Amino acid sequence: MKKEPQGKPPQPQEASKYTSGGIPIKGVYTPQDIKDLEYDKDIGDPGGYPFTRGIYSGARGIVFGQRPVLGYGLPEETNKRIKYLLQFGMASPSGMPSYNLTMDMTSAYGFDSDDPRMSQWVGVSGPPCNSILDSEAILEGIPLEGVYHGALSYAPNWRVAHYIGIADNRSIPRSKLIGATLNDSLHGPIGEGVHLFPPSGCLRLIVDTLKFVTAEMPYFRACDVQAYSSREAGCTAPQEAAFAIADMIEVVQGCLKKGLDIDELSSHLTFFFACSSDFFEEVAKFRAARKVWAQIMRERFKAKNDRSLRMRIQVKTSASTLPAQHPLLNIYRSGVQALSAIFGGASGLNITCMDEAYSAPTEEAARIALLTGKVIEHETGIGNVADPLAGSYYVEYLTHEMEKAIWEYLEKIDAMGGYIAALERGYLQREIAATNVKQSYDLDSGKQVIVGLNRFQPEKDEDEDIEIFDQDPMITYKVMSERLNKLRAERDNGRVKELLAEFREAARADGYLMPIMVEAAKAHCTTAEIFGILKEELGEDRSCLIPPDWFSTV
Amino acid sequence: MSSNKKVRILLAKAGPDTHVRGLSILMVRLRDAGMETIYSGLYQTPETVVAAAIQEDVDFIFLSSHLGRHMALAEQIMALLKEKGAEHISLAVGGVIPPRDFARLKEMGVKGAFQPHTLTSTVIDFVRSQTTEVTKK
Repeated sequence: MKKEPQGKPPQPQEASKYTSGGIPIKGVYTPQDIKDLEYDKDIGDPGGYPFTRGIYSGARGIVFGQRPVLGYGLPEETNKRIKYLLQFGMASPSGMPSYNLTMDMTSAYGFDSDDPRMSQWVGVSGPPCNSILDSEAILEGIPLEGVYHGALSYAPNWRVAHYIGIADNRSIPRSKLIGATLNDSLHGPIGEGVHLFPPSGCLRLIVDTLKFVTAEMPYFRACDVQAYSSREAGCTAPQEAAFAIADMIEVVQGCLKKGLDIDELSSHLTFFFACSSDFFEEVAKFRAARKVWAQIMRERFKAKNDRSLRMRIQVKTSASTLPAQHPLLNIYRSGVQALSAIFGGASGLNITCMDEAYSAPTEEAARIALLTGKVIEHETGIGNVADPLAGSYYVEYLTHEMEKAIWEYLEKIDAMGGYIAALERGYLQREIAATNVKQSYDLDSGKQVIVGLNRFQPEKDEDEDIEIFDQDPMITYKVMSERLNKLRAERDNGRVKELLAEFREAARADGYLMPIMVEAAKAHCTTAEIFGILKEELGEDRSCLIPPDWFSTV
Repeated sequence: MSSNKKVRILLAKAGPDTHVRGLSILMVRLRDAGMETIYSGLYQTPETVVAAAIQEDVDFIFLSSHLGRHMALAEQIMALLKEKGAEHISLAVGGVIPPRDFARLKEMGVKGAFQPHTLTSTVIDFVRSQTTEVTKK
């Protein structure tokens, strides 16, 4: 271990007076601190309004579905990784065998693999997804019935169209398909940064997919708000929850305008949250978010069915909290975050791999992450009782404070005209930037400690202690380019032309896109063909050129 | 570089890599430290990065990379700087960069390489040490 520098030793800090999200805390809590809370009104039993204690009654809600996000290289390499991890019990929240696929950024941005500008990125951080043939190769030998499909897919839901097309080809009724997709490009600008279309275009595509699943796929969740990515981009816990809820409000309003029924729609909506390091704050975040959402669904959107009020929360433990130094410590960090998510009543949990700061996960790192969850599930007994921290003076106080913080943001965003308006004026981006800069000063000064980073640093770079995932995109680029040439030569190009014309017409006329997209998938249209039309008809998002003043008001 | 001129730094992203958290912090912190920062925007190529660096007359390019393509990008940027006669511009890279690549980056002439979570003060100290060196010459 490196000796701590003699010159300016980091001073032991006083116990933090605030949570990482800025909620004031003191050293001890008593009944006085929660005397204004009423059990039935503010907390309630698990499975009952306002769902603070979870969306299911009893311990049924405590689930350990674990699906590391996976995918890399050629489609068949991803297929191999899926099969490898299924052996170790990779499963959905409901306990079905499951996978959670990424796609490479080239496909995510709507390019085909043979676009020379993208040659360095083909198969990086996900497999390429040019046509339904690639999706077929990824799912080769994997049944669609009885397996929960999970795929990170950006707008439009081109990849979902592939999945439906494969089901059609395999003669599996669409109504039997079970799974989920992201379909939340509205979070791109404050999260992962995937900018595809202007916000109004994003919203239109989200609503289009929700319309389709509401009509045809009762067991398919088709809007999973990407709070995870905005948290990883720097949000605090209250910001993460509030921005996610504001986004979902915008989506629900968009669907209602299109005539969808709130109670039919609600079963297709989920939230994807991160779980970070401030243990009790994270527990409070999940509890408070459920309560706020239940109230919005009941009072603002007048949902009648009790089930519609339930916020389903998927959690992935935070990747951005895992530093490069002492990488094996990250197994512990992720494990503790997983406990926090379980105590908070998450409906599903993915544990992040220890090698986040180095590369895409190796097979070893993915296996350890998956089995960390199995240890918690089978050895600790914490899943036996629902919401075991309820009634703790501190946890109930913190949950209440978190709820207030979330409402405060929601009121501000509403006053601006909603999530899209707040996005367009840069408000959300500025809030996140301010949080990031503050944290960077706190790390420099030692006010915030990350072990290995600004205290207890290792003596040497430790990457020789772990294996690092490596790949050569140029190989994937070449193989995929050859496959695309073959595809373009062999498919029925008359049919392709006809479908693309029909698709363009619908895109221009505010028509219904998903049914045409499914047919286009089956006819072997490519990603660039579909996205190309959308970019022309919906416009391209220019906010990728972030105005520098968004960063200057700190 | 004359001592009273502010250090100018181009903060750059390339390809479909959109992880901007690190750059958004540097944007403010380097400015707070008395330097001038220019942001490239997303989806740049080595060619557009080098062209912007020359046009903006910067002293440094900071390339942020989170999708594992730092080696290829750094190589192309270094070659272009040479080709355009702009070798007075220094390149540093930051992001998901395994230390095992540090030596090769150095051989290429890349002046600094930073892993995720690097303290911002470390980056500021790096710029200062580099510019002091230049001034001495």
